Amino acid sequence: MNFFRKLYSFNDDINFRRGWRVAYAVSAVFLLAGVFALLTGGLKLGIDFKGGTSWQFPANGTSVSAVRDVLKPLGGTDATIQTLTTDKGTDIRVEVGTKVDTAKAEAALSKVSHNSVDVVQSNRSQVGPSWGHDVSNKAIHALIYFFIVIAAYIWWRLEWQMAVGAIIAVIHDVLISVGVYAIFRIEVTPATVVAFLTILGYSLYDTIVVYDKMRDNQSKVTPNGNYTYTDMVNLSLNQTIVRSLNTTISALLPVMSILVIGAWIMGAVTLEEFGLALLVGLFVGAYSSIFIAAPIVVGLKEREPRNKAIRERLEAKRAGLAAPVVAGAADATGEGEPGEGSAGGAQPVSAGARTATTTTARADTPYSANHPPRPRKKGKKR
Amino acid sequence: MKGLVAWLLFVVIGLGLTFSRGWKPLLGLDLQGGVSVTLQPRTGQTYTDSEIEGAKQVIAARVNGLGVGEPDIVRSGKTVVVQLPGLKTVADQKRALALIGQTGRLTFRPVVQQLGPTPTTKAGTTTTVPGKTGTTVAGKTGTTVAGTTTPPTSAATPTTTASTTGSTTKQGLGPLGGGRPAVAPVSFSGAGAASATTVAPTTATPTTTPPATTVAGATSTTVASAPSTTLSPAAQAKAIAKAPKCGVRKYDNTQVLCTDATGNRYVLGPVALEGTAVSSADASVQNGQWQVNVTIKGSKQGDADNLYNACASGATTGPIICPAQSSGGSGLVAVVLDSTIINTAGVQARDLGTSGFRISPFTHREASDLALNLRYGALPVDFKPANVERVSATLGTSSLHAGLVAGMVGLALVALYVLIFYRILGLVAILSLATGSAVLWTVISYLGVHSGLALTLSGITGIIVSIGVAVDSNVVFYEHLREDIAKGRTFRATVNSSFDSAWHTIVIADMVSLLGAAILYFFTLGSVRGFAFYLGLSTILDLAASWFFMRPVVMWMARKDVFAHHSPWLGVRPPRGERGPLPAESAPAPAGAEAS
Repeated sequence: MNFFRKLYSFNDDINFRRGWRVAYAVSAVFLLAGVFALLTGGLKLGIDFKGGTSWQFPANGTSVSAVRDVLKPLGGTDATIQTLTTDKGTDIRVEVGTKVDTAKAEAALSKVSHNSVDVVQSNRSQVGPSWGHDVSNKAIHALIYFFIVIAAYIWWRLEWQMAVGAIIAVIHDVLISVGVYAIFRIEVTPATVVAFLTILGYSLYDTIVVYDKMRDNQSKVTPNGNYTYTDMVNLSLNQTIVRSLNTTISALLPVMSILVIGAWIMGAVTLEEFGLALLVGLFVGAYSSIFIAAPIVVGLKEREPRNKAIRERLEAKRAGLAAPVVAGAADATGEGEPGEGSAGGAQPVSAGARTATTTTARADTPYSANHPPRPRKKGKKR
Repeated sequence: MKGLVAWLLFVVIGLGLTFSRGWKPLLGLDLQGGVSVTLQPRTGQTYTDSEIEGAKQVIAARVNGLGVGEPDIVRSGKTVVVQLPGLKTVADQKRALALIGQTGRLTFRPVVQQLGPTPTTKAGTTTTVPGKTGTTVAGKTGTTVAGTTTPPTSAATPTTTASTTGSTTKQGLGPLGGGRPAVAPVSFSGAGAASATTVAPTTATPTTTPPATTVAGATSTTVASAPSTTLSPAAQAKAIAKAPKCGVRKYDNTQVLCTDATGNRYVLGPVALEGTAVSSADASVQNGQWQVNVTIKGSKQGDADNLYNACASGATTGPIICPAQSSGGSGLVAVVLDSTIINTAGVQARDLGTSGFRISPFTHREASDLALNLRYGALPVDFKPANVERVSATLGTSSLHAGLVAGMVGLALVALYVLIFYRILGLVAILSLATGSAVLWTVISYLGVHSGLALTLSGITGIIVSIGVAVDSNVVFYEHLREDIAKGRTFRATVNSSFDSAWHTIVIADMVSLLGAAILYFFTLGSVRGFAFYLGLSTILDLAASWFFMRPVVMWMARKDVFAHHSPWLGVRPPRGERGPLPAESAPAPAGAEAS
């Protein structure tokens, strides 16, 4: 409870950086397990992907649920059972996956529908997949275009590092969700695929909300400010964590309800198929925005000479005893007097950063003459 | 404010229309069933599995072109089973049937001989309206008009076709076969390339009926002989009796006997040009009539030229025999769809030009169905006329019930959560979602009735989830507000800047969803396409509801003292003093790592 109170009170002081390394390890474990399961066992694909066997026979008053009941013990829980009505009467059409034993199924079907085995057998046929390779290929192509366009868009609106981070995070989420299905051998249906796509969309959305906050806060990372890029990201995460939690909770509530009430209490098996995927995906999506997408951008951005210089200066300042005095003084003058600030601040930084400092200082000049120092103003606002 | 009023009006009008017109969402195959069509190849021909598979894919593409109904298409042995949701009316079923099962093979053959209507054809088919033909032709006919011979019955010009032929053609060829004029004028748009050869424009087709044909067709036993054919009557009759029916692949290289939609018979030469030469086909409106514009591929241009050159000169010898059918000295080209002539056209043009031709006129639906078929190509397999069966839902009402109950409970929980967390603002969020959902309902109902958009169980749950996610736009905004208020700014002072930065976030994030939805929609089939549609729709509605509802309402609240001075009502505690921006030095929360 204490944690939540802290979380919701805008304290801005959760140190996410500590979690990053752990998260990388945890994700790596999950990813490896998932990929391993995918490569060894593969996904348990349903009838829509693999096809199966179908029968059609006169109903003779048999109900669909009666047929479903006899097929269940034979492994036909995912059987498609329909009544077909024509001018001549009503037939029952049954479609089961490849795992159901044909002879046993025929015996059971003829018994329940009061037909001779021959009648049932005569209308047996092999059914191809409704979700064939063509559909899969199209979907895969579409996904590739999707990633390219999304990456280009994020690059355009935000930064290329964020495009990289977002795409990696999304792939991470989908791989883990699919991995869960591979590890636990849960059957994959078209509905599950749609759920995976939902995860993809949700994860991207969540990541971009975090990134946009980072873009917003980027102005805090100045050569003589108090934020390294990492600090700024940590601050951004603190500022978006409540939103992330609230959104995830409000997305999870209906999903939980679908799983618990719809699938488990009311027994709609189909709801379970993708409810589970959504549940996993929403968790992973929220997690990856904070612990995968953000640190990837941090890793890439901290390599930039400017951010590196800032970090080195601030680290030196925080580490040493003598350094803080010098740097602190430099900062103080830097805020008031930009010209001197650049000279003073240049002491611990590299040559590359020096130019950066000077340009910033020059840009600050018109404001710093008569107005309060700019950095502090910003700090107050946030 | 204007936006808010407009949005609310939009919502109310949408709901009003939906309820007054009785629009209801079309439930998918899994929830309410539909029709099942079993397509069996014609007997006598064997096909490989890959050919059947190819046919399946063409059918899938055609059905997909109809809308996002999420059909179920499987290959079952040597048959293809197509299940479509809804389609309660017989007319709908027929249309779907015609579109799915039609081989859709388009061929171009020269007309060797024109025969009259089949002896049994009723006289009523030729309801010539002299006055009308006169008016259409008048004036427009240039001097270079082709000797376009419209065979007897076609004297019914486009203006009269809709009513006359619709009632007289009962060949049971489905929507594509029926309701079309016997011989619609084809006009070749040569893009002005062959300047000397003016093509016969649609309306300029002179109704110069061939001399020997009986215009009234009343006697109905007369077999009209074309003037310049060299066959003797006896040989003719023999040839007619012997001639195989068109529409079967193995007779591609022989003369065949074909009829058009009104029962006029033609002897046609071998296939001179395949429908595969068509590079694109679109339905469009020209002079108030629906027509199909067909473009010929560059590689097939030679074949097209050969055919039209032969016919233009009325060739009686050579590879393509296309004897002159009129005094103008040029022959006719028949456009055959499967086993029916959908068009015959006179040619004087030396070539086809580059931009293809138009086939007209049609009703809107016929034109779009034909274009759809031409675009996705012919089926590699000839199917028997299929039978339609009504099928029950694959999941049944219990699943629907469970999904709805679970969804309602879930949404109620979300509403409760938002209310507890954001108080008054939570109420705004709920109302904002409600307006968005109302529009969603309207759109789904409208499209269900008019475009065959089906709502499946996964669609329903997808919508429920998307509503949960749509709360996010509100959350992003409110978090900005709460944060600023908690730091000591007033509601009124911060509302504008908070909305601006929240809106920036919302737009970027929603654009990503929209882009993704668009790509998935255009490149995929089946349930993925359905998903993309709902994702795109709910994203647009999210943007609209945020801008037109959330923004004005919260801004209005900020102006009212009641709300502005009671920050606890907004779920925010009064400020607790300022804190310095020193995140680096701040103590890490012990539970911070646990959040992972």
